[in-house]
Amino acid sequence: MECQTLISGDVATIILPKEFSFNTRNEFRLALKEKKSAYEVDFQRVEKMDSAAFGMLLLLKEGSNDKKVSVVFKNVRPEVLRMLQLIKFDQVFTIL
Amino acid sequence: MNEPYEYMAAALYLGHPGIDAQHEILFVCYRELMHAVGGHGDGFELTDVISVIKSYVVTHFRYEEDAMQSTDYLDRDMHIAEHRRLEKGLLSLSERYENETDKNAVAIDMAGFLKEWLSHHIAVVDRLLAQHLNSLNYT
Repeated sequence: MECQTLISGDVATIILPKEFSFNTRNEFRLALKEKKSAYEVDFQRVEKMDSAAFGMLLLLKEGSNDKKVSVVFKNVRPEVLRMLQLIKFDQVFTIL
Repeated sequence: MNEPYEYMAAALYLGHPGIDAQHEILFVCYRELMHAVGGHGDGFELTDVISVIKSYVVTHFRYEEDAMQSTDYLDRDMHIAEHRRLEKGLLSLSERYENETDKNAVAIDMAGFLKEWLSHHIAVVDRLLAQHLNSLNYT
C-alpha cells in the first residue's frame, strides 16, 4: 500500500501506508507539494514506522508553518500513539 | 523493498527508549540536511530542514531537562550548559544561513557541526543521563 492524498477544497488528507518508512519518502514528499491550508494525516493503516517517517512528519509541519496551516493526526492506533508520545510528537502536533 | 536504513551509529544507542528514539530523529534530520544540500532534486526544502532541526532540538532538550529536573540529576547544570552551547551554535549558523548568499556552504557547516556535536554529546554526556534515568525506570 502506498501513501495517498485526497483533496477536498483547501484540505489535503494524507493517508499513510501500512509501513510508513524511508521507502515512502518520495511519495510523501510529493504529497507535500499540494499546498493547502490544512493537512489531515490519517494513520488508520499504519502498523509500522521508522525514524525517517518521523522526520517526514516534522517536515510536513515545518513546510506549512509560514502559511498558517493546520496539521492534525487522526485515527492513530494505541501502539503508534505510544511511539508518538515517546518522541514527544504529542507536544508538536494535534493528535485527534 | 530496501533494507532499513541505519541513521545512527550502534554505539550511540544508550538503552533508554525515549532518548534513543529522539536521537535517531536528530540524525534523520542530519541526513535530510545533507540530502537537501546535495541538490539531487528529490530532497526537502533546505530552509524547512533547518527549521525542523532547530525546533526538534528544542523539543528534545526540553524532554531531557524535564527528566533531569524530575529526578534530581546531579550533573544537571553541566548538561544544560552543553544544551545551551549547541543552541547557541545552531543560532549562529542559522543567522549565517539567512545572511550569506552561499546557502549550501552554510548548510554543510551546520551539518558538520550538528553531527560532531551530537556524536560527542550522546556518547559522553547523554550516556550518563540515560544510565541515571534507567536506574530509576524513568521513561
